[in-house]
Amino acid sequence: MRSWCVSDAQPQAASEVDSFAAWCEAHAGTDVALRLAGPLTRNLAVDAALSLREPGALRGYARQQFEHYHGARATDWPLATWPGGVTALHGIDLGALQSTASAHDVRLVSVAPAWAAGLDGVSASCPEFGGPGRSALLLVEGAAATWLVAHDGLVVSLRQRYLDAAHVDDIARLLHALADEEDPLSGLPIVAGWDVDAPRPLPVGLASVFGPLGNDGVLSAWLQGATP
Amino acid sequence: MTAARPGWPRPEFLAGPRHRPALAWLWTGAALLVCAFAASDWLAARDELASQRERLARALRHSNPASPRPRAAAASAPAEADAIRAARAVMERIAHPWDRILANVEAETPSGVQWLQLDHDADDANLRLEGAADDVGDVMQFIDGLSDRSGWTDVVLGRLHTADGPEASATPVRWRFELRAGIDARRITLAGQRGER
Repeated sequence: MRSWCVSDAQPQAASEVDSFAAWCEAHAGTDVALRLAGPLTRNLAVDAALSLREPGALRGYARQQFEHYHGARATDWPLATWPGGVTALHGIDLGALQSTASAHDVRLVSVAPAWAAGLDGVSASCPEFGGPGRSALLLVEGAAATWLVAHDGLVVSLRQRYLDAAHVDDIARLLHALADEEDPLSGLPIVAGWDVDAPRPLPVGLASVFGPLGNDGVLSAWLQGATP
Repeated sequence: MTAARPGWPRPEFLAGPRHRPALAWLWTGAALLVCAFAASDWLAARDELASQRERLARALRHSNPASPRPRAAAASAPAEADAIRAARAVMERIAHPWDRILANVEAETPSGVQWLQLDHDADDANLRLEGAADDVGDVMQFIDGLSDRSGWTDVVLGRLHTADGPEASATPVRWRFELRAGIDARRITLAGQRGER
């Protein structure tokens, strides 16, 4: 778990945090927004042909799909809807987080997947992302990756993949594999991420890289939806 | 700074009025990134991926057989063998547990669900149901109930939409849906004989 204070124009360097309770104890009286790493979430982009626009209908459909693929453990996963899809939270107890926060006078103002936080920042500096046609983004969090495809600015596919190692060569291999699976894109896919071993850049012509991929990479800017 | 693109998803797990606009907290609070890099979770995710790939490959093999069925051989077989086969097919159709299948569907149907169509053939292991409901929860309850019954597999929601089209804003909303299920006739028959679910 890592923590940033975002009250300054220049965010402070990240600090490692052992537990949410310890963080709350040290930051009593503050507001906090949690951004969840990819492995804590499951995502489902719902086919537009299903015409599921209302959050209630999206939830019902997603719950059934998650239970089908993940079994009974998906019954209690908290769900968050977005236009065209649903994200499920698993592996941490949302109620326990809220209790811990309020016990330390910390206001939990938001709990959301990290992949959604930086999309505005990417499309601000790479206008082709989210523009007309098909565009894609690979968000790499160490060896966990989220592959997001947008069509005319709307997310149509959101998949989680895992790298053999958090290394730039494995990112290149994954991008080749995704290019084989995917319908043609309007331009190069965009790669953003952090905690990646990147002794050399990605091969030219494979992807546009959004900020550095190294240790903390674009994480700080990503969480604020800013450009690195 | 950045230009907001209203089209991007903003999923939020905290519901209700406690959630303030993102920009409000950006300048007053702190952000935490919660990571989960437990090896077991990774392995589970990989296994799941591998099994899904395998399932997909199996489905493709079934839907696209390498060689066409040997119809020519069947055509040249003696007429007597054809007659025996036809008789056996008729017997199998008669023995198909229609009553059990319909009783299972009826027993699990919540009061808010009406059925519009049922497609099933005795020589097909798949069943398709079309229905209407006021509450999506009733549909999910039906799926759960049927999935728990012996001989019913892969009960899944194939389609769900509002009965009056997506633009309808009238409340309460009426839902139309389509379900698909796999059927093991032998297990359904056995469960019926033993008085099991």
